[in-house]
Amino acid sequence: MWFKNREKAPIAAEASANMKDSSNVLEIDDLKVHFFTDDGVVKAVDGISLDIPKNTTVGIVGESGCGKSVTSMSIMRLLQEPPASIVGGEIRLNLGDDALDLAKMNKDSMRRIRGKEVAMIFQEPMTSLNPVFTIGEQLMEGILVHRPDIGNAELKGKVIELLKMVGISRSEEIVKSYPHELSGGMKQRVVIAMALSCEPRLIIADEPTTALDVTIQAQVLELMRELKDRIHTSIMLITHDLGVVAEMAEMVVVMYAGRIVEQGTVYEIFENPLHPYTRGLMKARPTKDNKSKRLYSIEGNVPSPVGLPDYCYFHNRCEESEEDCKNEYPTLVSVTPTHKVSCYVANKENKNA
Amino acid sequence: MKQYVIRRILTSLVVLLGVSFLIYAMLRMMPGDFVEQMTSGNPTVTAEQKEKLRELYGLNKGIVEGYVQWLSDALRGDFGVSFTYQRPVTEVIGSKMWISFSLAASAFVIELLIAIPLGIAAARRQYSKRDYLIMFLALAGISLPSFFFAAVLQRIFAVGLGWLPLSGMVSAREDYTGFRLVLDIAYHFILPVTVFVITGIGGWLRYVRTNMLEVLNADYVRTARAKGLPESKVVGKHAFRNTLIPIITFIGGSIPGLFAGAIITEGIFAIDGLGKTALDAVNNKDFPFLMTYLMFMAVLTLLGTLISDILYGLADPRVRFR
Repeated sequence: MWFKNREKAPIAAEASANMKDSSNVLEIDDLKVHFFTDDGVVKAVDGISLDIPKNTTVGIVGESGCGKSVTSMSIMRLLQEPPASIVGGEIRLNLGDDALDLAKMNKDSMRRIRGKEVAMIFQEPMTSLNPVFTIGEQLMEGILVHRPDIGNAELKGKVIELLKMVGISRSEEIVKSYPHELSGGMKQRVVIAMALSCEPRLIIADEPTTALDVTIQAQVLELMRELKDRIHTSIMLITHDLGVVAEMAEMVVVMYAGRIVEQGTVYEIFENPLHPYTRGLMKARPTKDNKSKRLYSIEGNVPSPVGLPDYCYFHNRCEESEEDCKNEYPTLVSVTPTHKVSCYVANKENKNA
Repeated sequence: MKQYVIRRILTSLVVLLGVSFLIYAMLRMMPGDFVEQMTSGNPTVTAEQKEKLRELYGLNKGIVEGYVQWLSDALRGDFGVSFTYQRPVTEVIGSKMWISFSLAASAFVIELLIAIPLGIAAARRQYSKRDYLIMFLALAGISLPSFFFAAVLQRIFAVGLGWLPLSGMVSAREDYTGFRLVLDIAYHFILPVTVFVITGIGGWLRYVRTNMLEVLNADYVRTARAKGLPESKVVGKHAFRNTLIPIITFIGGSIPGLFAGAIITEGIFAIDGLGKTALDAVNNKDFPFLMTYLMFMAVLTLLGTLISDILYGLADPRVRFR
């Protein structure tokens, strides 16, 4: 065969790490993910740090191309390397007794983390299930790969139970059907069931409701919230929908062009947004009050990730920029123990206040 | 499903009717005919005698009239007698067809056995040295003209080294039977099969690679990886099963074509298959044989598409026939 079958080496010692705070399930520390392309180095994620506490939902917000998905794919180590490469930083995963630095894991040990400790829910339920295998088969193999000794009867029972858990009623029937026989909402429930199947410590949901219609969106979000408490897991929720964040998350991280521009609790971000970009995102939400007016949008686009300036990346789109903003990229400054922002203008306002 | 197949067969019959008229008309419009061919070396034959001969061979009627005659005979199962072999055409085709098939089929199996794993190996490391090497070889195979490549092989292995027979299917003056005969034929098939494989494998390699590349980028392959499945399962099960859908379809569709014979390669290696016979028939203006041979090809083509459509439905659960 052309596959290299390196059999179960113990998880590499060089990947062991120490959690900064044992109440966190995941700590990302100064993570840098770069893509080495013909056009130059794309700094898709450039030095971000964030913590995901146990049993908490952390929302990651930003426009397309901000590095949200790259962050999540780096945690899963699903990026194609090369061209992608984790050039610096740590991704520490808390396993209870010990901790691992996922950024340093080799392929084979990482495989045993995926699905078991960290699971992922993808954006497109239509295409994220394999069309030629039954739902049951696809659920079973995910369990079987991490629990090879599970009995046949137990496995089947577990699959039925999972499907019931995500609110699929005719689960005995659904087990035997193919993905194309299910609606989009049903498929996303199956994908969620798949993510839950090994009761992971962390579930990464990459825009889990974007492809669904609005009524189903609400149901799926409700389901995720309920299941999070039921299996005591944390959720990293990637979205560009602030409404979803407000509903689901306890902590919010705002990303722009591969960096974190503001982070805090959901109250801090929504009550007191400090970064002009966060404010822009807030203003761009449709609200009940301004029916007649055109919806606000932030002028311009996320800058090309090749050859970014050495001052604030948001500068040329910013409505509040000042002289200082041409200085070097602003550092992330704590406003409260939980609330951080990286902006000269916001810092000045804050000092004056 | 049954209904679908019946409907497909009925439409195929209509297509065949049209095809048969076109073939008939084109063959009859070819310059010269069998009588001209036969008498060309003999200046003493008079025009009246030629006309007599034409009447004898049934070549004196107009195209439409002749076609109607041919069709009514064909519908009764009478495809005529080959001018050169003086035997019923169906008998000639029936005997030669299996020679062509055994040659083409053995090459076909070898091609697939090599092309599928190599194509997947190339796709798994796109733009690597391995990928470039495999694709270079594929392209080289496609670009080699079979007549030239065959001659080179004959020069090296038959004339030069004397390891393999130059041409033919069995050793002369040896009346082998049973297993010895099979071995002897296999020995004679080595060079022609090599020509088939080298010149034919490139297309399959590229087809497998392209399909695998597409599937490897699919979301469900990412899902499979996210589940923690080992790479052997991700590629060997999730990706391969999806790659197989177009490949099975294509393979099924190619099978009838294996009976058609290969004109050039069979000719060079003097293998008495359908392809060589067809070429001879063109040269000799053997009208009944050509007519039936071309109709046979048309039937094989239609059969191929029908088989590939049916296999597509079997391989892909999303396809339902109505």
